[in-house]
Amino acid sequence: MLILRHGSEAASSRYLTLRIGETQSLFRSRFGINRTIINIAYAKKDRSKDAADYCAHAPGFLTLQLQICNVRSSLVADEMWLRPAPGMVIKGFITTSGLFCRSTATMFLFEVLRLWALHQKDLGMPLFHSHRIIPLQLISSLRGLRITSLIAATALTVSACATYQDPVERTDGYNDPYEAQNRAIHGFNKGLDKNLVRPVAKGYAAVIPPEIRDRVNDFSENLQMPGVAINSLLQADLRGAGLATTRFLMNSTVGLAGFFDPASDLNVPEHDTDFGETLAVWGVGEGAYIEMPVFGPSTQRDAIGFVTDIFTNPLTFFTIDSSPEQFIPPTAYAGAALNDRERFGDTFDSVLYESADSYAQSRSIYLQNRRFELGEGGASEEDTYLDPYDPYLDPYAE
Amino acid sequence: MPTSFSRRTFVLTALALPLSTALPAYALSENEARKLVDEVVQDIQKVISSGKSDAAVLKDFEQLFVRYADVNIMAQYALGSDGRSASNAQKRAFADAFKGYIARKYGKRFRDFVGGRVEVQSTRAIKAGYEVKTKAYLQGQSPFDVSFHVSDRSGSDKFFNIYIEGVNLLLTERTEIGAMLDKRGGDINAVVSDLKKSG
Repeated sequence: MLILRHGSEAASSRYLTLRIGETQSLFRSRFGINRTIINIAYAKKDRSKDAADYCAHAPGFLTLQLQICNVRSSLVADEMWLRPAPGMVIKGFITTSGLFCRSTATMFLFEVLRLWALHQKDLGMPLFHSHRIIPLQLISSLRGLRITSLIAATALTVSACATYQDPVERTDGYNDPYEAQNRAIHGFNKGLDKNLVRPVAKGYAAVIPPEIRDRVNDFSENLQMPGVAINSLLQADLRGAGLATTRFLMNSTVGLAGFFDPASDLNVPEHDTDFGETLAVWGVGEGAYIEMPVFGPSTQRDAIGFVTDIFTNPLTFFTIDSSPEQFIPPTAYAGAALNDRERFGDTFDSVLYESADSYAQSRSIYLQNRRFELGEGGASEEDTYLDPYDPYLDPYAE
Repeated sequence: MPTSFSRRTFVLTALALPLSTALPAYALSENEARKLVDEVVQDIQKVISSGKSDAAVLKDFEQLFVRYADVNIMAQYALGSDGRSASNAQKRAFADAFKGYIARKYGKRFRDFVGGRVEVQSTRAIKAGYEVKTKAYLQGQSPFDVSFHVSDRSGSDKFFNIYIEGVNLLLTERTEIGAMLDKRGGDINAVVSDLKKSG
């Protein structure tokens, strides 16, 4: 993953001329970098033609001049900065799968899809037959989805889920019948983190000061408040709905569109909930553990809640009708996620890269924490407390 | 033979009686549990603000862990059912490696606690002893729940588990040690040497 950065750079810079299509191998041979490289297209300022045209009509023939800056030797692969040579301007990005995108956000999205496709291919189960075209279709079909049809689909799945009985086979006390598929997705997510999220989070933290990153987190959180209020109402939690509404009104106005958090300064407690919790309150069972691509650990119930929230909460990509405003929530969300990835980096790294079985660790930690949040550890809290002194009462002993 | 049977029962009862009467005298009170957690938190703060080198801080954490935690029972639980086939020497070696591993793994995290504070909220009796509920306030983060489980079954007041936002150390480490054992085909000696290098 390459990160573009503007401004002055360290002295160790030099120019490199590249042609589309040879980026990857060239970087590998020059720097010994064995990782995903996104081709980046530049066109000279005076050119009338778009970089996209070049790539569409004559791939491999656009010559780029990039300045390689600040190649650090420690975490070489993660921290390499590129910027255009003088007189050149960025028109967009060509992803490794040959797609042209104008914004970094779309580029990341395509890159995620491409990594997913590659991963599926590695596993011998092609999800996308041609990862050059299908992701585009997938995205446009998602955009075209009518909310009503989605709700209908959700209702169907929920009713299917409600009658779902926990299967007999359990691992580590958890209901995980899809372990094989889950592990495959976990492998993908790990690759995604290693190749994309982790390095980008590092870049984000290196470029943007923490005070501003925290403002983005506050902003993103504020955007979720209307959804939290709605879900609280659905759960008949009037206090929660009141808190979410108060916080949203205060932070959106006095807090300058949510970038600041005066509500917390005035001791209005934070409140967080989602449709997954609403389903739990309504009595829908947790269902099986599943790991979602990109978004990570979940359960059947929470995955349905997650998708429902995206399509029904008032301030999301799919519910805001005008462009480019609709890109604000996902961008803020991504910024907040990157900030969290960086801030809790050691913890993430320890679970993902230092544990003997990162899948089992993430599953255990996610389910323990989620059950705690939803207050459904057992009939009473104490039932779930471990008593290591009494081996006969230990539910996990064989 | 009824006579010898009853004699044995008598001897056992005679042995057990002073033990059981002695137990209430040991028994941990709610206040003692709370005091223990206060002490642990204070000592952790002291270590964090000592300004020592990372290696020295981790060494201090290991000592705190041994002083305040029931390392043996925690190690035994983490080892799980595989522990039953282990020899006493293996169990000891495992517990020894385990305490270093825990101190390193969680000691690294304690740096996040710089400038933070932990407030005891409530204490209540649970099956194995007491639960001390606290709230942790870290800089730039929303407060979160940390709950210490304290028991005196080892003979002195020690904590045997910590729940952070519902995620408990014992279960999480049992999963981890289980995975390590799986990797080594159940060879405890190999896991002990792996443990010394991890965390």
